[in-house]
Amino acid sequence: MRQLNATVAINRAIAPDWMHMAFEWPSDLPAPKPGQFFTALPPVVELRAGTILRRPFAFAGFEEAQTEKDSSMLSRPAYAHSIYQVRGPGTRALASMQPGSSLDIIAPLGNAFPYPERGERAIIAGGGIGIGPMLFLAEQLGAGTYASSAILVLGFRSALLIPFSGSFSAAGLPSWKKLLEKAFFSTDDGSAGTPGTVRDALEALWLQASDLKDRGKKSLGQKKWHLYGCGPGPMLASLAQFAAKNHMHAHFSAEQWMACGVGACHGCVLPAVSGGFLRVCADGPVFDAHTIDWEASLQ
Amino acid sequence: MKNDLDLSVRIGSLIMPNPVGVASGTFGYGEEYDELVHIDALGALYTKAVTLEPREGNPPPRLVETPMGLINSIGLANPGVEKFLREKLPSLRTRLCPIIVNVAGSTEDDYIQVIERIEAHLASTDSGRPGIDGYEINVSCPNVHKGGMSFGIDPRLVERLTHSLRQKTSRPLIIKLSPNVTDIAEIARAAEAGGADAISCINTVVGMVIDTEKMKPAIAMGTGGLSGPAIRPIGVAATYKVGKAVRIPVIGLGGIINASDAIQYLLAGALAVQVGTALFSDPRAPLKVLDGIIEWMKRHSVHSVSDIRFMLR
Repeated sequence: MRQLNATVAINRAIAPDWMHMAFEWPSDLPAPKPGQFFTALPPVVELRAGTILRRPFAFAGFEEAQTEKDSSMLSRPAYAHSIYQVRGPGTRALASMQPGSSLDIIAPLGNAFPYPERGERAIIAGGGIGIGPMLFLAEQLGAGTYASSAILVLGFRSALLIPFSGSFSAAGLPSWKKLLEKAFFSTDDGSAGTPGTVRDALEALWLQASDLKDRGKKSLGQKKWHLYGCGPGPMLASLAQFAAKNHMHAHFSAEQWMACGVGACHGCVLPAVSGGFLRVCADGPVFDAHTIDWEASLQ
Repeated sequence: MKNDLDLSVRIGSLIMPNPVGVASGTFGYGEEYDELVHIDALGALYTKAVTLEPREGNPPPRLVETPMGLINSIGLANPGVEKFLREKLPSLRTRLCPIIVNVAGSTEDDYIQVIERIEAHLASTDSGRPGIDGYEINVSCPNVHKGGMSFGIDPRLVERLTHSLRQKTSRPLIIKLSPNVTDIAEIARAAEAGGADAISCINTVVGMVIDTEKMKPAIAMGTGGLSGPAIRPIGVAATYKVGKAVRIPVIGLGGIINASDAIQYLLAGALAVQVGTALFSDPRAPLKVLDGIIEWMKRHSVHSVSDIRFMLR
């Protein structure tokens, strides 16, 4: 990890109140992995806002630096990407930053999602702003050495809130749009995909997979599922139940209010199934879903 | 020019190389910040609280941001003194800056046993850096039912506890006081009478935030301890009062984010300061504060940092 002033390259809306930020990544810093996060210090744009803490954000993508042909000159630096929601004065200040401005970040922080085991199919579930790290993971697994690509299931409140649609279609990374084209959706209001939650969409897929398996068909039913998740607490609690019921491996990226971001203050904990608490920033943010007491975390 | 300045401060038998330390609870036991902060350059590292038994801490949410502040209710989560000695002390021994171990407890006996255990351990290990240069006694944690607050609000208990601990160690003994009292100067005098080497002033201020949509407190425990710039004027005033009330040094803390804040504490009567919550916005804050103090001293032709406490007009 390192604290540095990164140059903002992109900071634009991709959906109502959702932003895509990209910043230059130093060539001598290890590339971030899906699941890892950074903290950023919002600039002081509104004195009355009075925020003092850094904000944690998951990485949603990474682009390697490119060099000129026949030379070692950099034609383009590496970029780290993130998707964030404007929720309060801190993220509002971030959203006001112009490309070219300097952002105080600490990165990379936390652990990363483990790869699926041999014979496992990655089912990647994202809810709301939690889709950021899942797009990153889906891209990495799909582009990896795994014969079959991962399945992406994304949940939103409404079709209107799906990023890169309507007036936002020009924004975002091309790779994200490709992933979204192949993704399964759920919407709370039924305006796109399966009506209901991400859990509902997963249950439907699971039924389909079981059916195919019973009939000896390949594709969905052929492999054991390894469930990956990121989203609101109630969604993760529900997905943890789903994974436990169907005996599948599951890894979720958790969210919690954070102060130091490096493990020192013990502020961002979640209750562990084995008793005690785990720090989201330093023990996570990715946890084996069966180690966290998600229900208790909702209290 | 820097060499002409005397930045050192003396707390009991301990000489700190400069007046800027990092506050207990915000810096763990140091390791977490290794990649971000030049720890050896700090005036002192005050560890996260150590209690006799391991403590899991309070249920989440433990944090909420407030205007220019932060409310926490961690609940003194720590591995307990045995695991501290086994797992945390080895890395502390490699530090070049003074290490002050923050000690918390529920009963007088808890505090005594933690210090006895640490002293016995240090006596049994061979020479070299002890890794522990003093103690800060937390009689002021607002976040556990018996977290010392019952001591911190009663001058007789503070004097008795300090006196008991004084018998157990010759290392510097710093009593960390709560602002959640009627007369902090009275408590400070009690600590001095008990044999304390210094006073840390102040711990967090009890605060509360309520989520009006959920109609429940923002943190699980209801109330917590407010820190950050929001409490700085409270800390400066407390330092001013305590500084007038006792002859032992005062270590000022509460909301310091830059050199000017720190110098306010020094002018109010503090010999040294601690930076805490500011680390969460900028881990470089403590050393920036130190640089700013040096710059201020040069600008005002102040030779010794320990003179600043007498300069308030």
